[in-house]
Amino acid sequence: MNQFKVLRNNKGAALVSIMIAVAFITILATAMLYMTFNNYKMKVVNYESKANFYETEQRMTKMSTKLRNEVMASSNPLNTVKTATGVNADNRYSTVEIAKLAFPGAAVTTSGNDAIVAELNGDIYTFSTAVPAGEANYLETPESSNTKKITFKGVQVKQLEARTQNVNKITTDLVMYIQSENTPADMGGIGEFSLMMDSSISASSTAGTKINVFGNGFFLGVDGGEGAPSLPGRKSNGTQAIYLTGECTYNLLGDYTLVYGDIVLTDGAALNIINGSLTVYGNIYLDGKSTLTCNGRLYFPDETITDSVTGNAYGIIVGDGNVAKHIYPSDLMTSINRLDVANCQAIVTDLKLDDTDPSNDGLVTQILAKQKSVNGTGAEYYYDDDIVNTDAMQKDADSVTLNGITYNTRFFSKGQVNGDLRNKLAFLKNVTAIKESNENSTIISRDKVTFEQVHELNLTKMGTNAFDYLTLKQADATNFPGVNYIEGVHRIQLGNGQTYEVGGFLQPNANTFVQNIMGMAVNSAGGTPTYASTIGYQNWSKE
Amino acid sequence: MKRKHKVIGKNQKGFSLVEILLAIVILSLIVTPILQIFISSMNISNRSRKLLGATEVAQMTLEVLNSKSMEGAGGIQDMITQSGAHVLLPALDTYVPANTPYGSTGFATHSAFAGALKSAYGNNTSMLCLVSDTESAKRFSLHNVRHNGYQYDVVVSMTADKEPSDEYFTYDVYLEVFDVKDGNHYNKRLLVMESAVINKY
Repeated sequence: MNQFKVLRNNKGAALVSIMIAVAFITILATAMLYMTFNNYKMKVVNYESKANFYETEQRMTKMSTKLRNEVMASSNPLNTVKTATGVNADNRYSTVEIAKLAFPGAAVTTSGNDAIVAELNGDIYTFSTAVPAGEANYLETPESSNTKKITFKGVQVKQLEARTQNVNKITTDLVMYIQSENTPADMGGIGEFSLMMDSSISASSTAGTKINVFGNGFFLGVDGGEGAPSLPGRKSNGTQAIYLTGECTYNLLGDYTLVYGDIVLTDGAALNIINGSLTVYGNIYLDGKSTLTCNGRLYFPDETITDSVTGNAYGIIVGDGNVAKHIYPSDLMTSINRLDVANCQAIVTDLKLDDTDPSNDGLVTQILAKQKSVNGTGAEYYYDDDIVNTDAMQKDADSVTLNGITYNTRFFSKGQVNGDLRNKLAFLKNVTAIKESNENSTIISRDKVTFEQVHELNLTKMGTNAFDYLTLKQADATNFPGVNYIEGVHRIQLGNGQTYEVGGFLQPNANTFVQNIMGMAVNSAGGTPTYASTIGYQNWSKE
Repeated sequence: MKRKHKVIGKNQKGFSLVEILLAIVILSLIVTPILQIFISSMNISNRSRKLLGATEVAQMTLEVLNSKSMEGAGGIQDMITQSGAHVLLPALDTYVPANTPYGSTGFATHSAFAGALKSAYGNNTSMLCLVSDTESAKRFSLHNVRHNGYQYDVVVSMTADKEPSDEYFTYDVYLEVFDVKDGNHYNKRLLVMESAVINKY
């Protein structure tokens, strides 16, 4: 009965309902707040874990970069790698040395095989290896003849973050490739020789040996020592750079070949310059059985040549027995300092300088004229047996006719040249310095200029002109007593940041300060290898 | 019906004003804390999403910096000094390109450029502001980086860790992400991350 009474009495039910509803909403709101706050805390943890990860990765990055830099600065990368990472006889790297690379200058303590670094903010870094003790974790694997792969297996960096007590661990194999390049490192901008020798190529064969040499350019030089005195054609102060005897064939396939010494070919030997130019600082001697072929340009820049060319040299000289008759360069002969009249009977008749582009015509400092040449301007006539020796010409405004084309010329001897040499054939001998006539002028715009015994060549105002061929010889104290030069130096100052294309001795983009050229070329055989490297991660993981 | 009228007629007394006022007071005392809980919850949720966005922006920025060091021969150096530096972070597809491309204003130095941008700054303009750009120290900021519906300012300070002769070295990166609120920049610093990038590969 009482129960019924209670049920009938519904006073306050509304309040109870409201209280229940409010309580429900309160619980709901509190739960939502709790969940939202937890969600926020998760976002904070997410941010902090990522921040900590980047801090850990920072140390791995520093370690690998520091190692790579030490390797690249070294002349012996493999030893540097081993030293910097403390590789022992069991081919295991030292975690202490790894830690020092990651934290240069920091104090490193050890715990077993682990290395520990404590930062000032309380963070603790532990460096270890995932490779079990007794197993090598430093591997060297040859990839090719000049590339070596180095693997540091299982490098581990662990960070304990002081504030959050978060622990991050990165484990990876560190892989490094070291490649050696045998191009001489001290060549500067001079050239990109594929083959440089400071001793002679010498071959003797009766079996038809044939050698092909491919590359950009070849420097074949000798310096100093006396050659076999019985050999004809020997350079007086050197010896033969190329001495081939018997039925052997040398084919040089490059953009240019520079021979500092004599070329002596006997008993059926053949030297073929298949591509590019041949520059000979010396004599060429060929007996009646041997052949020299040059499909490109031939240069004789050396003043000391006496018996320049004898014998048969198809492509350069078509001989008749032991006496050369004609010169037929298959491309174009651009520079001949001297050809001896005794061995070259008809030079002018058959000298082919027939390119119609004036910039491609040659520099001839001494012409042995065997035939009257027609000069359209009437300025000069050459007769048979006359010698036009440019050394004797101290004046300018003379003209020279080559193959029916007349050129204004400038001949300078000693002293300093000031003037505009644009569009001139320039014969410069014993000149101490060449400088711009004024600040804004360009002094030389010819494609082919021969500089001999020029102590200083200042080309800072050259603009965009290109040298097709540049001959550089050594200055000497006798001719320049007052000049303060370094022995054996041709000092060439090219404009900073400009590009000079030199297709002969100097290679394209030789836009840097260059000195001591001959010495550098002669002494650079073998060269110091340079190294390139790459570094990366393998089997990378984080916890 | 008769009975119904009777009942209604019996209870013709309404609530008094005092009762209503009392009810309102009681109700407000009960509801206000509940509403505050909801509001707090929304605020926390908002902060949570903002922090998540800021973390993602920071992470993307660091990854882009890292990838930029692998591009070109000059690596990081090329990236900062290139004339089109306003496209610094192409990976951030939510990034609004600068209205004023760097290098087109005729200002000679980075500091002059940065100062001019500061004074001429307007809303809804996203820009790259180079404060310093040398090999040893680089500092730049990105304004109004939009992500997850929020806008952020990102400030990156890089200091070279190198010996003078080092060819390869690292930059210590100190990255800060700020909240942009009602057009006010650097309103509140949301987070800081530190990392290192290699100058070049």
